Amino acid sequence: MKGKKLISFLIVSVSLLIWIPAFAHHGTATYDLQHEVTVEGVVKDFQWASPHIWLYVTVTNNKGEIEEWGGETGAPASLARRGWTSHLFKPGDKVKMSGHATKDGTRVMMITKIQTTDGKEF
Amino acid sequence: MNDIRKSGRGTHKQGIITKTTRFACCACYLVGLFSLATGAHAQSSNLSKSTGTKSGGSVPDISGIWMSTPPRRVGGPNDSLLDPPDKRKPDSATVVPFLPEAEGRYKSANEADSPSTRCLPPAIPALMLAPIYPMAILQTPGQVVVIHEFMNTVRWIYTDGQGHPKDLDPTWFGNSVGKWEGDTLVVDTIGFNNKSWLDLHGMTHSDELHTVERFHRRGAVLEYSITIEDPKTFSRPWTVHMDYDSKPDWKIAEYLCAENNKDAK
Repeated sequence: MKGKKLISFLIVSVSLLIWIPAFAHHGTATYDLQHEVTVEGVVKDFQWASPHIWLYVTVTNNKGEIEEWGGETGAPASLARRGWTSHLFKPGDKVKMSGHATKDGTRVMMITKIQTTDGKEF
Repeated sequence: MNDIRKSGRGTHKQGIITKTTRFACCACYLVGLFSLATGAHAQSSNLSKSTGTKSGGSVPDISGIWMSTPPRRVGGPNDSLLDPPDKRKPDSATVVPFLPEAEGRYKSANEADSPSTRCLPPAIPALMLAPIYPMAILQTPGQVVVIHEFMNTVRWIYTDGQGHPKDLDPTWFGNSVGKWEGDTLVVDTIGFNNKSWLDLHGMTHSDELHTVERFHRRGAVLEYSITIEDPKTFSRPWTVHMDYDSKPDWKIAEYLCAENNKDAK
């Protein structure tokens, strides 16, 4: 019985987590939530503004071509409570940005994780 | 190269270094939930009384900063969740009593058409049940003011007994009047326009929308429910329950949606 309750709790927790970022301003229908992608590059711009914080990363792809990826995450209001600040990232910082890319193949993602070279994860 | 900062959406497909499973995604969100929960310790607080009526009568004090604590439950003793596992939209067959035509509109709705993508406000149910933004409640004699961080929105609830005006022009938040039933503030709202959505997924409504909300403070927890009635959208009234935790050390932050909105069409 306890095991069943624990499983139910975990299922509910995961479902809520999926929903929480979606509520922030718009739905998530444009993103491929079944897969996650990671790009590695250099921060071009970090936009600390509502309704979504945006991080732009310049990436060199496998063919040696330069690409720009944009990632959106929560609003400054909510992420500030989790320790984010407006100067968390600056142009030139090396980062890995992970998230769900748009279904139409554009270089935009809903961020799930950002890793810095010093091993920090956001 | 396209400058995708202008549109928010680029036009190419490359640069993918790794792909992980959805499990990894869920795990990341899980970290996020527990991060949110970490700061959600309920403070011990006694029910205090506030002078909340123009006549100076004493009513419960529900003022303060409040943060919602999902899950959002629908129904009564055998509550079901409004957000069932692995589904983007509520299970309309068992949870939301749609009329057939309204259910069809809901299922075919495009999230990109949500008014909030254009920084217009959500309907009261979506606003009140927003899970990641706090609200501040201010009580003065004759009125209760609810200030939501989400979209920087403000609601006025008149508790001076004035009742609803006879001829209401429809508005986004309608006309709210409240009265105390024991220790519970009961808020009745009518006069909505039909422009807002009840969620972010396409739950539209008519201008016959009517909501009844109940606010009841139990120490550092605010128990909340909203009954949603719209004879042109739902076959019967239905009720969503959710609690809020007191956050006495929090402040309502700025949220100016139009500042950097890349979703507006």
